[in-house]
Amino acid sequence: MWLLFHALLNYLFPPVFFLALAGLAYFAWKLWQSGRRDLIGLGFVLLLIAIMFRWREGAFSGRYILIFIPMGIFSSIYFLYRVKWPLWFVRSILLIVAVAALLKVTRTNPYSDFVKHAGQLIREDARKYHRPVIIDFTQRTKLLGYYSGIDNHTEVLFPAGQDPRRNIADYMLDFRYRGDVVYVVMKERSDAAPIGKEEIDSPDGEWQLLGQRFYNRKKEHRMAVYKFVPRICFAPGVRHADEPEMFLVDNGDFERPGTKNEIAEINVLHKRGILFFDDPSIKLPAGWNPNPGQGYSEGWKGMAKLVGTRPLAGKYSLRLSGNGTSMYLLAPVGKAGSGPIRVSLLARAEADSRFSVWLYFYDRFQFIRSLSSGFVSVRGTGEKQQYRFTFGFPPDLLGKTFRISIFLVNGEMVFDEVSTSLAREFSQKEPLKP
Amino acid sequence: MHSIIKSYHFLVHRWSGGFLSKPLPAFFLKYGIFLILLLAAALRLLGWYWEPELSRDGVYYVELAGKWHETGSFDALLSKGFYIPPVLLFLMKKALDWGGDPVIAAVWINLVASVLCVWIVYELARIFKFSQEMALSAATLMAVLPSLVKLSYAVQRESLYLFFIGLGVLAIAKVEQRQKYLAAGWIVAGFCWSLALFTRHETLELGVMMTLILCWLAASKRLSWRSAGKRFCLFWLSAVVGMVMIHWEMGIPRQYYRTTLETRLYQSGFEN
Repeated sequence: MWLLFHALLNYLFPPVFFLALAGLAYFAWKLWQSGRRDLIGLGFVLLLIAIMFRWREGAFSGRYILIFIPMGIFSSIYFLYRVKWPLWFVRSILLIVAVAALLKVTRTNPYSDFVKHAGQLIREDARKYHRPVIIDFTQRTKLLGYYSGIDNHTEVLFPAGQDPRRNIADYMLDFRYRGDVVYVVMKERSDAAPIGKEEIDSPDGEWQLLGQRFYNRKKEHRMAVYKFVPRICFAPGVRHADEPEMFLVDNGDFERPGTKNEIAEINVLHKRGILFFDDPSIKLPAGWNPNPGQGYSEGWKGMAKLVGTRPLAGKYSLRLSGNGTSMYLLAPVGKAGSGPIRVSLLARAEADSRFSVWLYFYDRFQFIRSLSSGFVSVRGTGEKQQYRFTFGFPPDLLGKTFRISIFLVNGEMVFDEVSTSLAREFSQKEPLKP
Repeated sequence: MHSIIKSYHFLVHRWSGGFLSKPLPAFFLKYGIFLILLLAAALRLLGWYWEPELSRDGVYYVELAGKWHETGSFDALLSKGFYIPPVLLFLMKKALDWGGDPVIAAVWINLVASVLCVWIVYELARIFKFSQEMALSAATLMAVLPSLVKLSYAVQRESLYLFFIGLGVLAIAKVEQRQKYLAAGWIVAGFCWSLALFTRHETLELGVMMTLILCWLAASKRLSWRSAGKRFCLFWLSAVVGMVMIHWEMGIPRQYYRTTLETRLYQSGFEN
């Protein structure tokens, strides 16, 4: 009820609101003097209004009270003219109220276009990229999408009162590979310094403040647009001086075909009606298994197989297609050391696709938890690309054994040359092929 | 001190005895409403010029109208919990059908509706036996109220809703005052109510409220039960006819009413 009362105060304009209340009281008093029956009528109407307010409390919208605006205006005018104040006084009050309202109407927000400004900044910059994405922390996702013309956007909801900036590093771990450029839109206090690259704690890309604009003339907050360009794609064979040596994981070049007898959880897949590997012409890489725990849900349609036509390197590559298709390396890759784990692979998207790389950590044979690279969206250009992911991990995973998995969310992609920065006893100690 | 005394003198004698105490010129009393309507229109157009950006709801409505236009079917808008009343969306979709801009169409519709609301308040004030000056004052407040000015240039449903409700009330007030064309007045009111219902759902409560007020008028012998019943029937019959016409014209599927009812009940505290 209080919320609706408050809405009435704001929508009716405070001076008019108080005049209206006075008018209502005066009207009730007049009815009391003239005839009590009419007062009962007024009470009846007020009771109905109160019931309406109570009923609407759950679906509260300030604009619900709009129909009371004309009533409030009539009540104000009634109060001013019928109380027999001197005419000059009544007109002065009206003049003051009207001028105050006019001042409020004309005192517009010079920064009212802050969302449009952010959207246009993004629109301009995104022209250089194939797959831009907006990550919005300001609850204005639809507006940003409208003004930037970018359909691919995500609204990040966080608990009220929480400053998402504190967790920006965690958020970026999830969102950094969503597109070939990621625009992060934040509401920040004006006195706070812009978010620096060290805060996002993601060495895999370039971070910059694209632009900012105040919310309103109070200048307490600004809408800041940051740009993150993930450095996940390199032309194949290009080496960066700061990259450590990479080592192929076991059969990471997919050159050794296996048999269906190597599939550990074949019964689970059969129960779900997934039988593609029963076809003798389908070859799977030795040591790599479809993972029923990741994708391959009932009704799944897709394929996982080795292909020899247009391989990315060597004789064979691994092709995954469909919605939710995964392959994991049965043999553990190694043990997590003190530094981050880097994973590199070659890939080619033959349709617009999304994929991610996962590491599954084990304590002896007991699964503990998994880490994801975050989902990478790739346009189906058919270009060969090299992707490099860096996995930081919490101290509790130190020394734990891990497996590697490739997960295709949707689309159709070909993979090859799966390598990690770890040269452990489980990996072939061969450098990445040029 | 001297300046305070001077100010007091100015206020009490010059200000109070000056133009503020004189009767308004006859010309202004007669044509003032047009000046106020012009002021209302100017303020709303200026507001639109200064702040033309869309709101979140506005973008949502543009998206929905676009979907409706592309598919030609209201079904395309339905999703879990969808309950947006379709009148404004329909008008925006029509603008798209005719090759226009849905935003500009929606804003112009709201602007005109909002300015007409000023006129409705003026007319109602006259019917309520307010003096000409009081009616002009009420219209002035309606014209300059910041919330109404702001809503008039937004892609929102409120100005249109207020206009339909105002027009319905005006129709009833006018015929009841003159005691002529009673049936026509109540039929117009019922039709306005149905349009308002498809613009904002809280119109439903206003219909119930109107019925209860009619009952009270009859119970308190201000109106015979027969007259109240006649008004009730005319209002609700035309309202139902209006709803059916809107339903057919817009091609609203039954699913819409179900999701709306479910969502509204849920919002009002009734769990599924």
